[in-house]
Amino acid sequence: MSSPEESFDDRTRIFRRDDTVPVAVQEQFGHYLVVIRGTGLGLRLVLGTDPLTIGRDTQSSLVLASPDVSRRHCQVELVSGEVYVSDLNSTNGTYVDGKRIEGRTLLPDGSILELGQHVLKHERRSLREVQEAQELDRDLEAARNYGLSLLPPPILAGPVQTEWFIVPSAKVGGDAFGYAELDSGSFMIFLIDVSGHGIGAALLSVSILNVLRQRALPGTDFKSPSEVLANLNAMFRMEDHNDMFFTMWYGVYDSAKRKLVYASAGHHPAYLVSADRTSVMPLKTAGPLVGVQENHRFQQAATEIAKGASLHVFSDGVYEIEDKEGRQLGLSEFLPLLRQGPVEGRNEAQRIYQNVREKARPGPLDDDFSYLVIKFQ
Amino acid sequence: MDIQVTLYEEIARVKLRGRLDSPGVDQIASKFTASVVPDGRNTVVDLSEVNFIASMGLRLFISIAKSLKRQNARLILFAPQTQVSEVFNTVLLHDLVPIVADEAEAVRFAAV
Repeated sequence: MSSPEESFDDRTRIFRRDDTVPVAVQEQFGHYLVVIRGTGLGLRLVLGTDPLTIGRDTQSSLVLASPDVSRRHCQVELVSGEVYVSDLNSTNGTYVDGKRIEGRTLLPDGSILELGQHVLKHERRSLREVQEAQELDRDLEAARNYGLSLLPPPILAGPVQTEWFIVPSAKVGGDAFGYAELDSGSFMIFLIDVSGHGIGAALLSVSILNVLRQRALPGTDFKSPSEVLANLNAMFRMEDHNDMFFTMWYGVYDSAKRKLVYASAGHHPAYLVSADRTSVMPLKTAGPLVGVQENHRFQQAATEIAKGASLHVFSDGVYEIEDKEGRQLGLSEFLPLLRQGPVEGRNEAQRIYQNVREKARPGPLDDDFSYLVIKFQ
Repeated sequence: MDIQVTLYEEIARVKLRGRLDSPGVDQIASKFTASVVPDGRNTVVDLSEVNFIASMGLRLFISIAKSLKRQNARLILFAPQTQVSEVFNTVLLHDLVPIVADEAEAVRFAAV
């Protein structure tokens, strides 16, 4: 039985605030810098009477131990209710809303402060808003951790080895990937990229990931890439999923025959790189976005796998970047990176990420960065 | 992102300028949809000044094309730049939405 303050139906519960509870007549506001990318993600710094310094120096108010940040990089201060930022002759500059600053510059409410790969946002908030934001951050962090927990651990030994690196552009992203043995001789590999970013895309991404992890597609031979794509296409119609769709690359490696069968749906090619890195072969079939065209018959193709070759499967956020001059880069500018040699102390996916970061303009990448490397011994 | 919508006879002409990424789509989606979907107008879209398209841009075109189709109307895109055209080819967008070289061809398509 419901109380006067509540009403129920099967799905909805509405609580009404008790009007006898006094509300604060006047809320106190504060100014905050929130880390939205880089070291200390989610950290909320209060701007008070003392200036706040940011840099590599351990005496800084916010220490960012990163090579693209100077020892004393910038200073943020609150003056007469306004927030200003000053660059302290840093090597790589300080940016406000994408523009490099000179001298003391106003940092308006909601503006973005960038130092190398680190991004902070100025927020003017009441205590209540801060508490709500912190609660939302905790929820998003839990969602992010759940998504990451579904990704398989790297395989560091054996005939098929794996490495990967993923950086969501928002706190949670719409990319996911996986791999697993289907039986003793077959190894499944896939990557999905759901349209958009954020929690909506992440929810769909996790749904698809769980279907694939549990092989929960009725009547599907998971050794047949075209069949997997066709049945996912039927299960995840965009009309049934808030108009969202996804791209996908799916392959199955037969270790006895050293053969890879693969299919793609609205996804750019994966690339097979020879052991000596002189050959970079695109692996792609023509297929529409998953969930968009009903009853589409997907194609698949096959290729032989030479010893020492590696398969690179990645999302479009890896190469659709703007460079430091504001030019839009694409796949053709990215592909030469695949021929470059390894870097000590970084796996192949991390090396690619570092190379992309060096090409990209400062600040977060525009899209999720997901990179999977499969090495065939 | 900028949008201009002009109506003549039974056709809506939409001119887009800028990046069709998530922020860009947020800026124009409501106006675009509200201008063409309720009346079920045949719509031609000039993409000559769109230099980038992300998945949210594709989603906008696909959603509008499907909505118009339910009303026996069509969405036709024309003059995409090379990089945008490559994305359309990767996702086989032409299976759902006609993509032609110029406005005259797009208008002819709309009239069929």
